[in-house]
Amino acid sequence: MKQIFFEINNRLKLIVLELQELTLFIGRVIRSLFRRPRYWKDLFDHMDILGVGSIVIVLIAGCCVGAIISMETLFQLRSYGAQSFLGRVTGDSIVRGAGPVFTAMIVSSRICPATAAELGSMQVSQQIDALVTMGIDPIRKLITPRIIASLFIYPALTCAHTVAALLSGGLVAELSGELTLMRFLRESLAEVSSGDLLWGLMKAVVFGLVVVTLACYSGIRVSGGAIGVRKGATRAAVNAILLILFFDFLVTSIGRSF
Amino acid sequence: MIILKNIDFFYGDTQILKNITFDIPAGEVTTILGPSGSGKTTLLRILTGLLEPAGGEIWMREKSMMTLSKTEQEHIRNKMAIVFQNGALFDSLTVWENVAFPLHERFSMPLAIIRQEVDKLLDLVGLQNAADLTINQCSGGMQMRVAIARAFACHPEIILYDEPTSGLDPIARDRICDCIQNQQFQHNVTSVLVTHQLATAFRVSKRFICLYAGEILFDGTADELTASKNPYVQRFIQPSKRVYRALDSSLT
Ligand SMILES: Nc1ncnc2c1ncn2[C@@H]1O[C@H](COP(=O)(O)OP(=O)(O)O)[C@@H](O)[C@H]1O
Ligand SMILES: [Mg+2]
Repeated sequence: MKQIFFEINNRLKLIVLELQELTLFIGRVIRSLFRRPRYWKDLFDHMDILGVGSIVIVLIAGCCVGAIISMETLFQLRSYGAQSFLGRVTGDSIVRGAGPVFTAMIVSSRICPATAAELGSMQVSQQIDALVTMGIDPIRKLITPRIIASLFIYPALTCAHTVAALLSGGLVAELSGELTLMRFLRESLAEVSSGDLLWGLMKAVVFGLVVVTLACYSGIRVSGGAIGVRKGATRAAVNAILLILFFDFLVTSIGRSF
Repeated sequence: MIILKNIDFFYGDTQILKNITFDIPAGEVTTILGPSGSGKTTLLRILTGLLEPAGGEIWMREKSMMTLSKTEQEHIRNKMAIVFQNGALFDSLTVWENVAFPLHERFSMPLAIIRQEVDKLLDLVGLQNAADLTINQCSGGMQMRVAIARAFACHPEIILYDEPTSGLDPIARDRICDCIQNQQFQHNVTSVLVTHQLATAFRVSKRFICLYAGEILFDGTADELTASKNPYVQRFIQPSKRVYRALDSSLT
């Protein structure tokens, strides 16, 4: 009994310590965000890796997701004889719902473990210590550019994903013979206000920010060789997926209650 | 001149350094000897500010580091460079880029001057033909020399070397000794050399400190070291006494 209490106490202490570290880290990141970004080249490099490197898989995924949602919705609507609503129903769920979440999941699954592994192995091989002893702030050099890049890239990729999804959804409608592609697009876009669009983009920004910041944190906190790097990368990937879903739930429940 | 006073350091509950007190005179090479795990690397990391000692004081430029603000500390420590035990090179960059890194990132020098400087440094460490290799293509000895060139690039006043010659062949070792001496004689750099190779130590240094299990066992000159009666020191230097004598006779 005493042992269990002791164990719980220890775990709690660890969690509190971890939260404290994380808060400190976020504080340092925020401070470095508002200082002049000196490392433009790194910023563009990361935009290239994140953005250009992800565009193809984001587009492919967009096509699949759009087609699936369109087919599923069509199947449901048919049982009520309401096929003509396909465009309106599908547009909203793609732009506000699926677009940002799927994009964030796909991009994060590429970026987060990779970021954590890269920073982690830099930490393990003391490259980060080397930066510090050269008088270069590793947060500003390695982390801020990644976070700023994610601020631009997540929304941009969300747009690409959404366009691909709408087109493939429309194609499904056309092929099923219920609606023409043009009508699908017109109706789905008519249903989407600029507020919805903004909402989707804002979600993308939040996802990118949270997930990439945490991946950087998992990476920079790695200790203890190859196993440490593996743990850091795994943690970054799992955290990313869970956090995206959790934030989506949070944001949606706030958004839909107004 | 750097002074360490009563430095204590712990990892968790284990005391790694116990009451370390010594000074590092300016413009000389001070060697820290000691078996693996005696706390040499830890001591260097404390000197660079990567680790905070649990107790004690470090004085640099007649100022106690503990009383200075973060920026003042950084200002003083920017004059210091460290050559890490494993090199700690940026493995995504080439040899040339590694050496250019501090010049570019910290001093934002124009490219033409960086080229000149890096070429000079690579010449100095004998790597002029390896500039375009990636770090993974370099042997251990080459990596160590890249690390040394990178440390020299900042024109530091103090350089800490963490076992720069361990695991290297005699020729590579000689080269590195030359580099260390070059910095001392040409630029009046203060050096701290951590090693357990007495041949290296005797060649470049006149002052020796022996660390054993986190404590200083010995602090003195080469002659005092070879004459030391301390059994641990004796055991540590026994195999190298011959080397020292040979060197001694070849010098005189
Ligand atoms: N990160 C760490 N966590 C816990 N103990 C450590 C850590 N790094 C080193 N140690 C311990 O500190 C002692 C001194 O290590 P170190 O300074 O690296 O020795 P040396 O460089 O003289 O071989 C060793 O006993 C080692 O086990
Ligand atoms: Mg060591």
